[in-house]
Amino acid sequence: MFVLRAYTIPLLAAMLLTPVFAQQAARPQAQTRQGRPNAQPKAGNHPGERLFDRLARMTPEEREKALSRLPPAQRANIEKRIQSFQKLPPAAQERRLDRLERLNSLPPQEQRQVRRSMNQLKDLPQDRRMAINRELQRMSVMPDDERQAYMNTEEFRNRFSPDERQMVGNLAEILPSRQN
Amino acid sequence: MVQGVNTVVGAVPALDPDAQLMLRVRDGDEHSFGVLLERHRNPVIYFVYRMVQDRAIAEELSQEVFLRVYRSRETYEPTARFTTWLFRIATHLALNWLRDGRNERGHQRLDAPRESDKNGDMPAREVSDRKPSVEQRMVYETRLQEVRSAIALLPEKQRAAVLMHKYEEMDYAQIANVLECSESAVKSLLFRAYETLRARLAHMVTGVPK
Amino acid sequence: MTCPLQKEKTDLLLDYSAGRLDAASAAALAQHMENCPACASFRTEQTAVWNALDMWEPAPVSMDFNRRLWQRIDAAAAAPWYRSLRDSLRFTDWKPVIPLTAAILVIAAGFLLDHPRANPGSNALVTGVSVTSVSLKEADQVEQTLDDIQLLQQLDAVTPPNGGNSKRM
Repeated sequence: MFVLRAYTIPLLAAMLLTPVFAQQAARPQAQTRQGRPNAQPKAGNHPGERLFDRLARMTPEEREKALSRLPPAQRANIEKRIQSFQKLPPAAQERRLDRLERLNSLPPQEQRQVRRSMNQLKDLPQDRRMAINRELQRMSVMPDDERQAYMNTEEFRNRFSPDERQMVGNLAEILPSRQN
Repeated sequence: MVQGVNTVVGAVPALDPDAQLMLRVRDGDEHSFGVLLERHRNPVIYFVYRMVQDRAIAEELSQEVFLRVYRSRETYEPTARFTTWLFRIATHLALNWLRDGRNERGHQRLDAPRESDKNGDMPAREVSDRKPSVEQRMVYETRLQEVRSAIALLPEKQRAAVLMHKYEEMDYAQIANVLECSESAVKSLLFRAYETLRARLAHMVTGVPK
Repeated sequence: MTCPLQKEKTDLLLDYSAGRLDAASAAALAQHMENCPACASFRTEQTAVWNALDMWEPAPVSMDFNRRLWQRIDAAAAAPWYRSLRDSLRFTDWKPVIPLTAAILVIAAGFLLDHPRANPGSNALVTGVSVTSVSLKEADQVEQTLDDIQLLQQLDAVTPPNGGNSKRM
């Protein structure tokens, strides 16, 4: 009788609790992605990206611990830049991270070209920079094959110097792809 | 129940590049996992989406697929093609979700799009100089709904077989490996599924403008 | 050529309609269909089905899919063993689990509640992110990433329309 009673209690508890466990194995509900006050950084596949993502998700105290091995100046610089990024509007953060992910997914040679073009863009006069941005905006709504065709048109070629055309072509690599 | 541990299902092509990448993941190379993710993420999500017809759920389940792949990296053995294993996990998760949800959802009306699916399908391309007319758009939406309904009304295994056959362009052998059945069973599934689809969709004229 | 429909070899017709038959078989079947209304009709209907299915293009994947996945991976790596176990059972069809297994879980849960896992200097602190020290080499990688993000500031004016696909596919 004792043996019977010893098994009865856990079995009874299990039977009563089984619905609880069943609920815990609930199917996924569609997670509503509400607007977050700070867009979470995303981690792509690049080691630097993933490290950045990890650091950005930490509290300042955790970051201080993670960066404790670094020289103080470097530690302070990284902290300052991460905080500066986190102050950006969420949409801007998402955009930059998405482009970063695209950049890092390119073959190394193309990555170098895109980085070179971004550095060149920085040194252009403001009106040329704006012209290139306008062009990229225009191309961002085109399907990929149309972008390429568009860059071969007289209209495009007449508006930009060869270097600028190269820049646009490289920077277009990190625009979102669109299909027909 | 698939926990990501391979079972022996047949000979693996000697140089399945994805299997080789997965072996590198097993050895600690996370970058290779990223490459596999890039390569197979969209096909998995689209497959699961067409199975469950809910975008948010499809992404949730697809995340679980890759999570399981990652989680089982240390015990990975390339006993099948990588895509076979991957789609087996995806199919199991999708089928489980569908079966678990059958009782909860009850009979679903498929003639009205669900709230969560409003953005589930690609909208017509909005290029200002080629915007589809309202009528064209309505025709497209109606036909798309017919397609979705036709697929949704297929029994789940038939649905999975059709989706892999049509959209993933898998051959009978690979579908059989994914569904863990014989090739002749797959042919039978596909025969019945396409027969049903022909009955429901063959009235559609080819070259319908989007 | 014998009629595939009569021989219940409809897979041949399916493969033909899908363009997956080898050239010789396709030619033979095409010739057969010139004289077989049933097979020709099958081909027409199957082609219509194919075209209809082609209409169904899913929407682009969410931009943050990868990020959320990596976050889950990192969170799983930092999670205690029992949470990992629970997560690994998620989505599993485990209705057939017998009450005795549930009883074992009840007992284990009770044990854990009485003996909470000591967490003295755990690396999974407030955020659940693993706080391992960053080496000099890793710091360089982070700084490179920060440099890239800074350069990308120039493109902030280029706002993408909705529905852009990932370039990766």
